[in-house]
Amino acid sequence: MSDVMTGQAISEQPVPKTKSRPVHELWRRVWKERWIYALFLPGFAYFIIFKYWPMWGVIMAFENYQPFQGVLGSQWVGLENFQRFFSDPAFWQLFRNTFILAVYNIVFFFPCTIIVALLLNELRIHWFKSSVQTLIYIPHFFSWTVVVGITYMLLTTQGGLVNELLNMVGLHQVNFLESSAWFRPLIVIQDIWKETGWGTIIFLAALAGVNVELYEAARIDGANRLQQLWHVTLPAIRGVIIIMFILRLGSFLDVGFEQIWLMLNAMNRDVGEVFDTYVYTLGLQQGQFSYSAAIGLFKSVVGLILVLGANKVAKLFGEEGIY
Amino acid sequence: MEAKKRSMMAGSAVAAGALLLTTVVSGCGGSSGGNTSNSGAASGSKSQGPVTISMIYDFAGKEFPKAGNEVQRAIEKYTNTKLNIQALPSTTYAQKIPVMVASGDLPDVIAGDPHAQGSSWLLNAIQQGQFWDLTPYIKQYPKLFNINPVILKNAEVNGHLYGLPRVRPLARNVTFVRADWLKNLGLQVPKTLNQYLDMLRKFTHDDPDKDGKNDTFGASVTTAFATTVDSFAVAFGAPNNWEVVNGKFIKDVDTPQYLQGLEFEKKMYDEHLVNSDSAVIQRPQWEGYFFDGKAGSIGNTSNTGDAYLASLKQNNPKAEITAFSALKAPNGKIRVPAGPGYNGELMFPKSSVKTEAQLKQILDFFEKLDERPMANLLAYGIEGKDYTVKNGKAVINPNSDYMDTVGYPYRYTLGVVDPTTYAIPAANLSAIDKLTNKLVEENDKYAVVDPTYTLTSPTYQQRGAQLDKLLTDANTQFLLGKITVQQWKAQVKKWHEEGGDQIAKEYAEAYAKQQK
Repeated sequence: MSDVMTGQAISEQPVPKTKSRPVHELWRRVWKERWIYALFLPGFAYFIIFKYWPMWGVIMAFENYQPFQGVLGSQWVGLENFQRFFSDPAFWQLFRNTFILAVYNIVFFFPCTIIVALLLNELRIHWFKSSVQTLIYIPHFFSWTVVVGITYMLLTTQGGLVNELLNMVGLHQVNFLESSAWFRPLIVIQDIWKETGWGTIIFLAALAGVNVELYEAARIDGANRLQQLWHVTLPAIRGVIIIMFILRLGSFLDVGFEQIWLMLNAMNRDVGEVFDTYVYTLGLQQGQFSYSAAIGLFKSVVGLILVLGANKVAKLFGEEGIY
Repeated sequence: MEAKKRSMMAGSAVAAGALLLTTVVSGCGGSSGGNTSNSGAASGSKSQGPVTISMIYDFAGKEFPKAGNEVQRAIEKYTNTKLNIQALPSTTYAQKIPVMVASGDLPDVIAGDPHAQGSSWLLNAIQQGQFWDLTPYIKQYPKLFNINPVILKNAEVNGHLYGLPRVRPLARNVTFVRADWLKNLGLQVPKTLNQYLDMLRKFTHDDPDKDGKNDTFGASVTTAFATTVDSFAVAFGAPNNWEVVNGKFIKDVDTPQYLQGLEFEKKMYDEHLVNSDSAVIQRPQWEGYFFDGKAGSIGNTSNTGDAYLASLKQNNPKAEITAFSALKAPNGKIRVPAGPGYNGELMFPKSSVKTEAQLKQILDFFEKLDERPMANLLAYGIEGKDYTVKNGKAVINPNSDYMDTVGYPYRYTLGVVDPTTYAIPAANLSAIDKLTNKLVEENDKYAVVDPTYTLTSPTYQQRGAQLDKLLTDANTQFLLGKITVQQWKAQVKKWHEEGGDQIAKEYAEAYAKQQK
């Protein structure tokens, strides 16, 4: 990737007249475009330091890693950790819980961002549009601890607002927080409340780029607002929607550790325990680093397969895909 | 042309790499500057200057006092040391320390408990010889190792001592009760389980705070912090976790008495005598119910009495507390579960404490903490501020912030032997401290010991936390009415199948070996 980028930066230069000392020539050009290289450096460094360099730690998943012996000194066990994982009594429960939450996320949360973006796009009063946008961005900057704290205060059976209201109208209290049935809806609602606004940004950017003439032409043809939305707006941003969807699949099984960990308790663990929380308990709290690395690797492989698959499908349908 | 282009690309990649390297190196330069100052302090220790000791430990207070505070200065001056302390709340600590061990970048002293649930990483590290074995030094430091042999044995791993156990009473769980509520209702401190239940009922229904509102309940409970069910089960006659019968290991949940204890506690939930959100709340809310005058009682360790009373008085100056511990079961017997007798061990990693001479310097530091001036400091605080001396006894200033400045940050974290052992006697212990000291002493008679404290089971090491969670979750679900007794028993059966039986076998083998 980095080669491609630098290659482009250079190919935009005029073809050099003298070819006698290419290396010297190259350095001269690098120096000439030094500020462009400087701009490129942080991104390059980021990927090397935080993405590529740590990858070698993946071999932990094939070892019986012991902290004091280090990655190189630990015993090699091959696929033992994976065998243990797939035969773990908890495996199918974890898989089901993670999968359902991930599907809920895509089915309920993902369309929300598109719908809200479309709604915002239809607003014509500028100050109203921008203030709504700002307001719905705000929850994104709250930490999950705060969001879960608010949820607790609203829903606790010990004087929570919602349960007090239910009491007042003569209904039974609902123990939202200690219930398996309410766990998934709560997670999805929290997600929608916190992240929808932020998720609209890319769609709004795409919507801003739709050619205005298309709308004018549609109006002349007699299309009403809904028909314009269906025949002009949505097709125009279809590519972006598909790209966002594919990218989302890459982190399909990352269902948000912090949020779920904070919402998890003895009463909803049967539906709430997911790969991430399990890895945390085993890996960080019990120090079974190799086993949790193996689970993490499994998750990444699933994400990779989904991205490759979805991209292929998108291309079959004549879309651009992500590469 | 193609070849030319490729070489240019490679060249530019190298160029970029070179630039990158420069930034990385300069980044390292910054941090190595920080290290230099550290090693400067360390090399200073080789001369007669103060010894630098770095440590990380957990503590139960709210905020750790800033470095250079009066108490730490006094300790550093007396022991001729420079302390670099990193202190974290217990829950954060338990999550952070395995990662620190994994990174290999450890201070000279860490707090850890190789016997605690989910400490297999620590036990592994010990078995690999990563920590100093203190067994040879026990005789050299008579004050430091003046420890009840039962507790010392509980702290050992395979017959060797790898840390300084922070000694605590064996059975130190007490229940704090609102004395003013008892008085309002004309009740006595409960002595039996049934009286206790009766008290909870009256606290819930009879308006103990006399404000004319039905806004109180009996006890504040949380499943996140204290497990009350085990103490009820033991009171009814169940073993404390495990019991050895003819060389075989019986788990508490397999006894009918355990279910009796569980059903007793279920009554408290069914009748709404305790808060209904016990599975959700964490420590602040759990203690909050008691401090805010909503709950009439709360269980915790005996040393929290003063702090609890102080927090309670902040909200309600008229509030008073008293305490009780062992309760008589309907069968007339009194039993309380005994803990290991220590709260974590202070351990010395060989990766940072490289030589025996360094180890001895650190042990000297802890031995010095047991000399009278230091023992006085840890037990009572700063003389003239937290206490005064009168006729050779410490007169404690009732308004001092001792717990926040000395108790939580230094006494309960660095103290190995209870400092009152070596300090001058106290002239005026607070009433609640006197009472809890007495309760804890009495408990020794009723204490039921967990035989597995000194044993290790590889399966428990690997899967113990998961298996324990299976049982505690089942208990919570039963108490809150989500599952029936039959379903609870099914969970116990599952526990047996998924590793419980194996653990029992391994304990039995380890026990047989130990008995030889």
